[in-house]
Amino acid sequence: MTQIWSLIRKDWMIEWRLKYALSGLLLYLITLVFVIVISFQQISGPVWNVLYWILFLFVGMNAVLKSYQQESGQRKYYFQQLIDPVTLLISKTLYNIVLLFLAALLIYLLLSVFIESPVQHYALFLGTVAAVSVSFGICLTFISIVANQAAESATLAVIIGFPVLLPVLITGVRMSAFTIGMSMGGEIEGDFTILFAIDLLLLGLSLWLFPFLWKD
Amino acid sequence: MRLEWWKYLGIAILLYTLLFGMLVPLGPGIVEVSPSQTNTGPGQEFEVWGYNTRFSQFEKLNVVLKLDDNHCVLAREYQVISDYRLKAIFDLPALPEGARSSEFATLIIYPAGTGTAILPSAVSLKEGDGDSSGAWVPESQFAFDRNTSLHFPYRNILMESIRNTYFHVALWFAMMFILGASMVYSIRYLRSGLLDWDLKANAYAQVGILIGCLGITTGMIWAANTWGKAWSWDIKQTMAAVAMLIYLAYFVLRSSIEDQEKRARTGAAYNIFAFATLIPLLYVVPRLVDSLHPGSGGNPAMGGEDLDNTMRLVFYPAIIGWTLLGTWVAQLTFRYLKILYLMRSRNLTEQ
Amino acid sequence: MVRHLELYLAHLKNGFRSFYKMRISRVLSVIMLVFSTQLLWGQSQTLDYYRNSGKIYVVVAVIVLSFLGIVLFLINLDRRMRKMEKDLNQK
Repeated sequence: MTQIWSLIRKDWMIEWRLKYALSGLLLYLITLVFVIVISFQQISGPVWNVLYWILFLFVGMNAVLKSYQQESGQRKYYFQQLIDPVTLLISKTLYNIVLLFLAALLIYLLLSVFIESPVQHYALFLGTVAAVSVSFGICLTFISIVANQAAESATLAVIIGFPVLLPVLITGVRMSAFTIGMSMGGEIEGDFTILFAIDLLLLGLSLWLFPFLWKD
Repeated sequence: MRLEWWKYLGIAILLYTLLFGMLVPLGPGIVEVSPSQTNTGPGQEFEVWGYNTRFSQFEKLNVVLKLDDNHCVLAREYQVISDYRLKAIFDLPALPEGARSSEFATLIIYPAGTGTAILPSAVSLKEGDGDSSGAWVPESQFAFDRNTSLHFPYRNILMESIRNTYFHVALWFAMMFILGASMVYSIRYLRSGLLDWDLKANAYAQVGILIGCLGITTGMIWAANTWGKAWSWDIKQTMAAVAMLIYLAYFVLRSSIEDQEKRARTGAAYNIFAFATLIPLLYVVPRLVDSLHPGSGGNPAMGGEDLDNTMRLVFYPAIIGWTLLGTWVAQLTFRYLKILYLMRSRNLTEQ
Repeated sequence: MVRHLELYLAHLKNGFRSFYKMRISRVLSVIMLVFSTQLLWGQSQTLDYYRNSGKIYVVVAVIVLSFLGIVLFLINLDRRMRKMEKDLNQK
C-alpha cells in the first residue's frame, strides 16, 4: 500500500518537475476548446455532448500514452529489481484514473466558461465522468504498456487504443446524454452496470497479463 | 494419433447445410395488399399478391382480416385470379370500442399452399361512414392449420434470403469460436512458453479475421437487398467493423516487434485483451441501442420467432460445419507458419 | 498473325500477373468487385422482380462469396508455401 502511494507520488513529482508535460497538455486542451468554440459558435445539447467526449478522448490519450514511456531503458531495469509488477500496475492505473478525471473536469470547466453547459443533473454527470475515467484509465494504461513493447509505440498505441476504447466511449456518450435531459431509452443504471462489468473484466485481465509483459 | 475424420465431417455438414438450406421450400406468404389503407364499411375490395401460394388448388379459401384475438372478419367473397393473385371483398364492421382512430389489421389466408399465409399490419383501417352487415368474430372460430410440412418461414422483406441465416449468421458464430480458440492458444502460450501455441493463436486469428471479413461483406450484400443500403451505420455493423480493426491491430502489433519471444508474449497478451473487449462490443453494446438487426432495440432475438424448429435443424449444424472448416484452414495455416519459423531459424529463407 | 496473337495474349497474361503481384491492387480489385456487384443489385429493386425470384440471388451471392473468400485464402496460402519450397530447394 505504501509502495503504491510512493509510486503515485513519484509519478506526480516527475510530471510536476517536467513542467513541459503538464503545461503542454493544458495548452493542447485550451487550443482545442478554443478552436471548437470559435468554429461552432452555437452549440446545441447533443452536439455539446459528443464534442465533450471527443475532447476527452484526445486529451486522455495524450495524457496517458506518454506516461509509460518514461518507464524504459535504465530505469525499467532498476524498477524490475525493486517492485512487484502488480503494485506497479495498480499505481500506474490509479494515477492515470485521477489524471483523466481531473482532465475531464478541466475540460468541463473550460467549456462552460465559453459556452453555457446543457448539463441538468450535476451529480449524475460527475458520476458518469468518474466511471468513464476509471474505464479509460484501465484501458489506456494497459494499451500504453502493450504499445511500449514495440519500437513505434506512439502510432501503435493510437491504432490499438481507439477500437478498444470505443464501447466505453459509446456508453459514456449515452450516459451523459441522460444527464443533459435527452432520453436514449433504457435506464442509466444499466449503463453503469455495464461500465462496471467492463472495468472488472479489463482490470482483472491487465493484472493477470502485465507480469508477462513486464519481464524481459 | 492424428485425427482426420472431423475435416470430412465438417465438409459433410456443410454439404448438408447447402442441400437442406437451399432445397427446402419457403412457406406461402403475402407480398402485398392493395389498397393498404381503407375505411370500414361494406364491400371493401382488396387485391392480394402471394408468394409460393397455390390459390387455385383449393376449393375453399379462408381470407381473414384480424385486428386482435377477439376481432376477426372473414371475406364475404373472393375471386382467384391466379395461383399468386386473388381479389377479396370484405364487409368491414365498425372498429371496436376503445380502438384508436386507425388500426392495423393482419391478413391471413388459409389454406394458401403448404400452410397459412400471413401478412402482419397489412391494412390500416379507419372508421368509415357506412353501416355494415359484417360482425367481428373471435379467432377461435377459424381453424388455421399449424403447418406440418417441411418448410422455412416466410418473412416479408427477407423472402428467400432468410436462408442466409445458415451462411451469414452461422459465419459470425463460427468466427467467435475460431477467435475463442485463438485466445485459448494464447493463454496456453503464456502458461507454457512453447512457441507452437503462439503460432497456433496467430493462425486461428488470421482465419478468424478472414471469416469476420466474409461476415461483413456477406452482411453488406444482404443489407443492400433488405434494408436498401449496404452500409447503414447500424450499431452491429459498426461494432463488427471495429472488432475487425481490433484484430488487424493485433497483426500490426505483431509485425512491429522484431524479437520472436517478445512478439509472442506481447501478441498473446493483446490477443486475450482483444477477445475480452470483443464480448461487450458484439453482444452488450448492440443490445442497448436501436438496431435493424434482430436481438436489439425491442426486436426479437435469435431463437425468438426468427428461428423456427425447421430452421434450427439447419442452423446449428451450419455453425458446426463452418467452425470445422475454419479449424481445418487454421491448421493448414499453422503448419505453414511452423515450417516458415523453422526455416527462418536455420536461415533457409528470406521471407 | 497467329504468332502475333499469341504474343499479345502472353503479354496480357504477364501484365495481369504483375498487376496481381501488387498486394494493394489485389485488395482494391476485390473491393471494387464487391461494390460493383452491390450497385448492380441495388438497382434492380422492383417489386415484380422480387415476386418472381424471391431474392434467391442474394442467397446465391452470399454462398458464392463465402466459399470464394475461403478459397482465395487457400490459394494465397498455397502461393506462400510454394515460395517457401523454392527457397528450400535452392539452399
